[in-house]
Amino acid sequence: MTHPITAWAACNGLGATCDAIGDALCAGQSGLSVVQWPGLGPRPYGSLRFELPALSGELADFDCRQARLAAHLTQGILPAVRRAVARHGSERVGLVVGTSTGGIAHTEDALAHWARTQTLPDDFDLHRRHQMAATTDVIGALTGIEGPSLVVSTACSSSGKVFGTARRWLQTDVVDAVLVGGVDSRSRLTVYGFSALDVLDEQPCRPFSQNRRGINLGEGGALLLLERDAEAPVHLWGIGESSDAHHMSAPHPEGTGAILAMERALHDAGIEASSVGHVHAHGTATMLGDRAEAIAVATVFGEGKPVWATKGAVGHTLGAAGSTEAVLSVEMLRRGRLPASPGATPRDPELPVDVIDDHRPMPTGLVISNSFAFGGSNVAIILGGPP
Amino acid sequence: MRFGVRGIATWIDGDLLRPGQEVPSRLRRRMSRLSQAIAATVSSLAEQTDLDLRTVALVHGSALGEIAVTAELLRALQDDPVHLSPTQFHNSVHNTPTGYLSIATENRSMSTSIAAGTHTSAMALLEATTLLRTGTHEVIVVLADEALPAVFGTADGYPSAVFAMHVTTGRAPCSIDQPARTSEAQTPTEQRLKDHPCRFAWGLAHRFAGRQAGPVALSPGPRPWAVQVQVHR
Repeated sequence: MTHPITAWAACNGLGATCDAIGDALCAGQSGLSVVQWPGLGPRPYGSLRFELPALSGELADFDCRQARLAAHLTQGILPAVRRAVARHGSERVGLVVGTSTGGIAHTEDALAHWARTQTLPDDFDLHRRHQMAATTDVIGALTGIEGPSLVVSTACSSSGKVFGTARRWLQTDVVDAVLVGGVDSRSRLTVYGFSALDVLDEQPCRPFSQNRRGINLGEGGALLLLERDAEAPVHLWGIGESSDAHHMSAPHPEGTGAILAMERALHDAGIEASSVGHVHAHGTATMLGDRAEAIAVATVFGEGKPVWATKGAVGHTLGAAGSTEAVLSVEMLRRGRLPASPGATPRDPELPVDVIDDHRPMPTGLVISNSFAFGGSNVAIILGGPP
Repeated sequence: MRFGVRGIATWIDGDLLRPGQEVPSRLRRRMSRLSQAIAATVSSLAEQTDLDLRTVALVHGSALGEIAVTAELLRALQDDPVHLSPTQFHNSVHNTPTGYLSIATENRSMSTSIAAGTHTSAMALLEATTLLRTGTHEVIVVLADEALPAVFGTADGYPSAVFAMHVTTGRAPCSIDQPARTSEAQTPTEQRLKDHPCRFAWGLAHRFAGRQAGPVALSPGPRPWAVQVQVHR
């Protein structure tokens, strides 16, 4: 059973809308800009390049960068969601959003204030600005969705795993439509945290490249609407989830968990590996991560499988990465083409995959999109045209 | 469709906490207090039932996750941002407990970590029951939130607490249905957890312990999510 994706929205360093992001990606533009981080120096970061208006009225108490980002995304998909709510009923539409940051930047500011004054600022709000579920509260309020609603927070696999929850809800008739997605906003904790792990590249990142030195971070988000019994150009075909059971912050060197996630996705979709035309890689540009993923892809699909990597253009948006990359794949499926993987050259000859480093027509077949995370959380989703 | 409840284990701060044998000390030393409490409670659950920790799916729900570790990190971010602890950083992610549990038990099954505010108990059970309806046979549901660090004030003064439940497609002493909204549900409550985000799950613990059938509200409000507990002799 496939599930139609009837609408989508996204924003990140490449642009404020899907059209802008797709055009920029196809033109080979970068969504990374240099940001100065005190004590670290300049680092490429996928910053939003447009203003996010403050929330007002009934949502004023939720106002923070995370909520503003969520609200911006929601505006981009609102007509479609409202049609779904009208068609199915508000309690028959669900909401599943992935995030790793939540409103942490708001709390960073609050504790900076506390360090100076031993008091929290008057506007600090643990429940309406810090906590993860505030993101779904904002989106739910804007869309009128009153069905089941939750946040998945499994670090970098968060907004890939949202598709799993949505698919199970649709398969078991909990709801008739689900708005899924991911939102992660700029924070100091993530930048300094990944720096502490010594995985930040001081240059624009180079996924699967011989010269890769680590990740760049970014902010942004994406929302996608899955509906039962609808016409749509792109469908969710399947999903696979697994755990590495290896290490909290390093992938299994042989890609064991990644292999399981991709194999389970193929099984869920009811297809053979040969039906997949290319892989949209997690591709963070770390030495270990890209190597493990390449080995996993070669194990499942054979050596030389085309692999597309996009974090070189938008940075790693962490909790938003899975859904962001799903929208990038949806946009390129719709356009029938794949631009070169930004930053991927020169290739690493030791990696047994065919990294897409030129502009080419969309490979025939489905696309499998991977996200792998701290704690060894893995997810692979399969997208493609209608069956 | 009904789902068997094979066992429930709970811990509230102040109760005895035995580490359990599933998590080796080398891992336990690196874990936060919350993750250690979760691991110990899951160990206690495994002693009650025929749980295979190597293969069971794990649904973890928490409204605020590793809030204590996060608060410490944010204080360090003020003092010396360039030298944050990498261990504390990866221990601050919401899915830290499931990560450590999967490593300790070599479990490569799917696991998830969710947050839904005061609806966390309801949504975690919805995740678990829909997993059981779509090919998974055994699920552990873990609900856990820790006491707020002092910096966030004590207005929501609840203790750290962990709830763990083994749910199955097979037979069991009690069963529940899939969570659904209901007009009302009288629910036994745990007074020590009055403001705890996951307090609703303790209604299940009370019914299971007393082998008492009846509804359990899993969220607040006039139309809460709820399950019906049945007892099977």
